[in-house]
Amino acid sequence: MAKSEDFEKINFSELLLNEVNLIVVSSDEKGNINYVSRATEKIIGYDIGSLLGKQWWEKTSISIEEGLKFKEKICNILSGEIEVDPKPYERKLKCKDGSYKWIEWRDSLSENNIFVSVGVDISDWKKTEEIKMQSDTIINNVDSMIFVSDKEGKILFASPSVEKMLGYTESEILGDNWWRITYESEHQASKVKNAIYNYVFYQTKDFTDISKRRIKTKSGDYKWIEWQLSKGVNETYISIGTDITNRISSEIELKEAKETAEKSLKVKDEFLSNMSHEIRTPLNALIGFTDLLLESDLNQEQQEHLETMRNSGEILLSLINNVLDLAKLDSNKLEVENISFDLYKCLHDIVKLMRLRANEKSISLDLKIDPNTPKQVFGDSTRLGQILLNLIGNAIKFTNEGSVVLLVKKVGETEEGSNIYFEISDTGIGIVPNKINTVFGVFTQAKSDTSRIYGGTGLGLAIVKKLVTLFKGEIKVQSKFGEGSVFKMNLMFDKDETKTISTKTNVIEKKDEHLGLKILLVEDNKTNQLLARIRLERWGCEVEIANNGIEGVKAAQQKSYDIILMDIQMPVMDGYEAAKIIKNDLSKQIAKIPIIAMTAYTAKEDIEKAFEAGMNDYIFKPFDAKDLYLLLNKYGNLKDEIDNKEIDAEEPIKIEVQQRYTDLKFLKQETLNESSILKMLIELFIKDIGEFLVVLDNGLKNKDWDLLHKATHKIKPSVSMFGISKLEPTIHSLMNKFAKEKQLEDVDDLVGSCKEILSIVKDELLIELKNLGNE
Amino acid sequence: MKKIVLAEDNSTLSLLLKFRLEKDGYQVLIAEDGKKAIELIEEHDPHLILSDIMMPYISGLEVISHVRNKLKKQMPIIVFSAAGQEEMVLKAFNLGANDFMGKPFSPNELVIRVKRLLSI
Repeated sequence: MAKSEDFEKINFSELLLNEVNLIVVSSDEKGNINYVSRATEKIIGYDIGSLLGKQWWEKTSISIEEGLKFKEKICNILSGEIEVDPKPYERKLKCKDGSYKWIEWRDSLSENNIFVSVGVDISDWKKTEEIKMQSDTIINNVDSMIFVSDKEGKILFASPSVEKMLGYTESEILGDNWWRITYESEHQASKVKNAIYNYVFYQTKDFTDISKRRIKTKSGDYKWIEWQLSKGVNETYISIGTDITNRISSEIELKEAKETAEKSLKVKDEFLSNMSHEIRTPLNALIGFTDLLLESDLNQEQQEHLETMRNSGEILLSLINNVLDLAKLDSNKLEVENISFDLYKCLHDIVKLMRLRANEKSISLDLKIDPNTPKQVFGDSTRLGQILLNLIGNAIKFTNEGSVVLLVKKVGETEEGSNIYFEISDTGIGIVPNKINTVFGVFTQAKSDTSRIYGGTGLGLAIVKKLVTLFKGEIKVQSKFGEGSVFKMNLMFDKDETKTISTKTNVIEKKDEHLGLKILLVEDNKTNQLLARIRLERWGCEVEIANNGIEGVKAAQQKSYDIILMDIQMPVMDGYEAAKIIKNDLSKQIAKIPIIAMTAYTAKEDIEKAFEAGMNDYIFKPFDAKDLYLLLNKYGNLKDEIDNKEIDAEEPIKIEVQQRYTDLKFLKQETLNESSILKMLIELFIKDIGEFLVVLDNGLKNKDWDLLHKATHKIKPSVSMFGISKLEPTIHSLMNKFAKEKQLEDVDDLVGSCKEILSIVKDELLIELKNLGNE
Repeated sequence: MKKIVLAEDNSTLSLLLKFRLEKDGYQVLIAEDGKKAIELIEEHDPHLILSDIMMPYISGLEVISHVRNKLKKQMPIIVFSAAGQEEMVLKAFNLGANDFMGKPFSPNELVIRVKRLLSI
């Protein structure tokens, strides 16, 4: 019975052992395995029968030595040499498929001296532990900072890299310390906390930048850190910070470099414009006086010397123009004219001018115009002249004997225009083959020592090339070194069917015609004053001189003149300002005097500024006597026309446009150029004007001076804010009169002019509103 | 955010000043006359008051007197005056105004004065 009970017990245990995933082995005193639990097969894959005896050790040990070590331990325990250690230990087993499993073992010794060891498969757990160790190693070794924070932003974990990067120890930044240490203000910190919270947990972004931040390190320097944020487990979030200080500083450097470059480009432009002004002014006197002298009685030698002088002046002037043109071409500021001109005359003039130089070198310069070439064409004669002067000038410069020939012929024709071919050939030094492709570059002359022998700026051909491109033409060069060069150019000119002779020739013929105008000359430079006075007096004009803008304005208001010649750059008050005042004069007689700007600034903006100031025309310094004559003739005659026709349809409109009552400069500045707020201000003021006009009417009708005083007081700040300087004195005196209820006799007149100005102001503002709406 | 009550009957000027002050982080409440100004002051208890001296219904002087004597409030007050109102400015100071600016004035300067008074 007892035996069968025992047997049942064993059977039951056996059943249990089979069900439970445990490796159970027992061993005899020699270390031979005499029991292996069924579950073992499931875990390591071997059939349990094949593991009994010595086979256990042979099959499952990871090495023979390792197996022997454990076998020996078992023998020693069974023989009583050592005691069994009940503590669990880990030992790997080799599986049938060659892989290994981590098993946690517990050894025990039964009462009847049987050694039993129970093993649990811990491979999966071991694996996660390895992964954890892996990630710990990663966290400890990455350069980026890793934080884990709770929902409130309290730091729960910080990687060791934080100390490496910022110098703060873990304990210094855990919890809320991080926010206190690295943020300047609590307000800022909570703003960022909120932004992060919203971003991580609700995927919403506000305007707070949480992607990067400049953080003060423990040592006091600053580092730029870029952040990546993601949701962690258990309502936490993970922030990974990377040091991008180097990137940011190079970005800043780049930006600074860009700004410097842009600034120096602007400085260059300004420098060029100023230099041209500074050189043109004295040159004006040089060329002008030479011209005057040339008109006097001279012997042959004197005549020649003066002509050389004038020629040199012209060359110097063209050099300045070249430099300026190149700058303008580079910034695409140069514009092409399209006017009718006599091509033959233009070519003859150019050749005549260059022949002087050819004669100096005893070479011939010939012009051959094919008879099929049209005489009158549309185009930009100035620029054509510039191209040809450069090309012929070059040809002469590089030719020491022989000839330079300019050949012109029509090679094609369409409905609109003619394709005209220009060929400039010389018998000069030619161009070395490897330099022929670079001759059109800036500052390149065929050989670096060329400039030493032949001089020049090296700009000529670069300008030619750019101008030709501007005309949508073509230019090519062929050359044989030592024999000469040929420049071949094709340009399109629009047709001009009218056979009129250009007005210029007319004028030159009537050069000394009497003009008889009363002219006010506003000019600060004494030499130029003298030059202009002599020149004008030769044309029978009466000249009065003002030394600056203020003197000019005074003179214009005191006497009547036919024409005002106005220099632009003057001390005390410049020409723009003076012209504005004269054109805004209440007396129509004064406001209509034509003003011609004399400017050494040739930029388009400067000319536009002159027109904005109300000037009627302009002439560049140094000016050609012929051009000045033309202008004076035109505006001198215009005077008679205006006198004859008092009601001129165009004139009053023009003046009205030029006279703006409002000046929004102050408001634009104060509204920081935000057009939306400027718009609101204008709209409000327009409304206020309407109300003010109603109050004015009612107040005057009822003689309610107090009401009127309050209304003028109320509108006064707007008048100055909107820059209505014309209205300010009126409003001011009205306000005083209403306040004191004295001297009320001229109130009606003042109110009348006030209403008039305000209605124009309203129109101007409505236009301004429209413009703002279009922006 | 610090609150400012601005009493000024010229609507463009008040809008411009509101715009400028709000740029600098102040909340600006506009009153077009003295009566409205007092209502706003009582309701919002502003940190600073800007007031024109001459206004419809209740003048700037009356506003100052109301704030200092009735409400017993000591917040800074800046008054705006026009030319010829020098005597009124003296009265305003006697009533407890802290600063004044003569019209026309630069909004920039006003912002600076406001900042200074609010930082003390």
